[in-house]
Amino acid sequence: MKRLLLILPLSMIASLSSLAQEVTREEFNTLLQRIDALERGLSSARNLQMESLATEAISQMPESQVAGESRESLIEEVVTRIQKREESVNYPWMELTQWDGVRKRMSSEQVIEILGPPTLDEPSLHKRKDRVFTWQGRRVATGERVEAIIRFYKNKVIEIEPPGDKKPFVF
Amino acid sequence: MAYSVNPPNRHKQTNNYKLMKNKTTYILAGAVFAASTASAEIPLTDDLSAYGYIDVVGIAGDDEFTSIDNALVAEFELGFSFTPVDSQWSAVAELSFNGTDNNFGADNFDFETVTITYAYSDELSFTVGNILSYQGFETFDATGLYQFSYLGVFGNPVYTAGYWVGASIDYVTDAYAAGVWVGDNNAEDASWEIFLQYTGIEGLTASFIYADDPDYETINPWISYEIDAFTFAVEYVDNEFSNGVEQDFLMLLAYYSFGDAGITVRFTDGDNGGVSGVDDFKRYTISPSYSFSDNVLGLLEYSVDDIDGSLGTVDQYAAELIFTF
Repeated sequence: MKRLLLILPLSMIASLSSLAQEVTREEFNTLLQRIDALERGLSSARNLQMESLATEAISQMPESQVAGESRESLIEEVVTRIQKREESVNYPWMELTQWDGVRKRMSSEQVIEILGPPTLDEPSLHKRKDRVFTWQGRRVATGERVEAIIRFYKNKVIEIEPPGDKKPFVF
Repeated sequence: MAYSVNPPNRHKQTNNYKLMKNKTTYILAGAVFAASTASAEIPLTDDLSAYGYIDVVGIAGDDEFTSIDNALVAEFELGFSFTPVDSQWSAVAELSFNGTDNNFGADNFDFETVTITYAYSDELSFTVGNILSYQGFETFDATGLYQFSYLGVFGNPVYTAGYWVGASIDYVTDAYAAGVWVGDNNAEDASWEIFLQYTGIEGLTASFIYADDPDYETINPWISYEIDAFTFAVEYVDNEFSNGVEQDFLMLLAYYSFGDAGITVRFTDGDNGGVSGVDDFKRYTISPSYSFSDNVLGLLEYSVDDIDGSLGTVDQYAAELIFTF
């Protein structure tokens, strides 16, 4: 038991020291740029992959099933659907229709049930807003950064900013 | 933690007014209670997050008793919260650095909430560690105040307790909260506090705190009511110290919020019990504020103390900018 007690603090110190590796501001900014580039690259690679998968799937379909529509627009349609599906699985809050169910005076628990857990859950210095939920992510198709915010006071929704909305959403 | 409606009750100890108070150390740190801070959270791992705030203040006064006319970083607070998702155990550690003299010695450094909590259920929790007092409508940290200064003469806090080591049991529901704190004060008798709060009517918070320590006894009821953009509060504090000093304070506060701006008007009628050479006094405060964003708040304050006797009136001015992270 004593040995266990010794091991625990040591492992905590080890994990903390690994967290505390120093990086300069320059290195940090470079890392951020690399992440940004990687995300963009990943998004573009995903799109290419989806396009090629869709092309392959359509090429295997009988000609009669794709008649009436150009092959290219069909591929686009399939890709868009796949992207939307991926977005709704990973970022359900990006879908604007989900926000139709969010109403003022809802509790934080009800909001999470509809939109999923927020990326950030922070308090506010404003005396009439005491909690701020922020969702952050990137559109699967374009890599565009998207943010949405809901503010609470005493665990009731008072302000809603759906994705793409900069100003409070008024019902 | 247990403060389901109001921000955590904390006494700000980082301004010059508080430094004055320290010189008149009739107040002993005593009981308390842990609470979450009004700061943002930066996740470090799934279970560990950091948060804090920076409070920059400029203060001016027209009397020697205020010992002011300066600008300072009143406080830099850094907290760590360890809350494993599937565990009933959690821990908080807050470090507070006060002043700008670059001296990180004992005078400028404090532990605030340093606690380990076991949540038996959503309502019932047990906490041990350095816990904040239940006392006070006015919060300990600047982030929860409606103005810069405290309700006491020269802007001093009037509560008899801040942070102290002990253990508490807290029960919180949507309609009420109750808590008991017991701590060690190095005397034969323990120090303890009880806390009762009713929040069953929308907008209303009614609290009663009783503190008993070998060095003091405090009764502290307060009520706040929010209606539309207004907040009204009434607080009474009665302190009796073992050295015979007796104090009482009645505070009335009104706050009006219009968009991101707000304005606070406060009045105190108090008997300071002769501490700092002050018995009866009245304090008037007006403080406009503005929330630049969810994590940046600025305010201005003008206060005047009307003191019975030779001290007369004392004007005080303050400008404050708070940034949370």
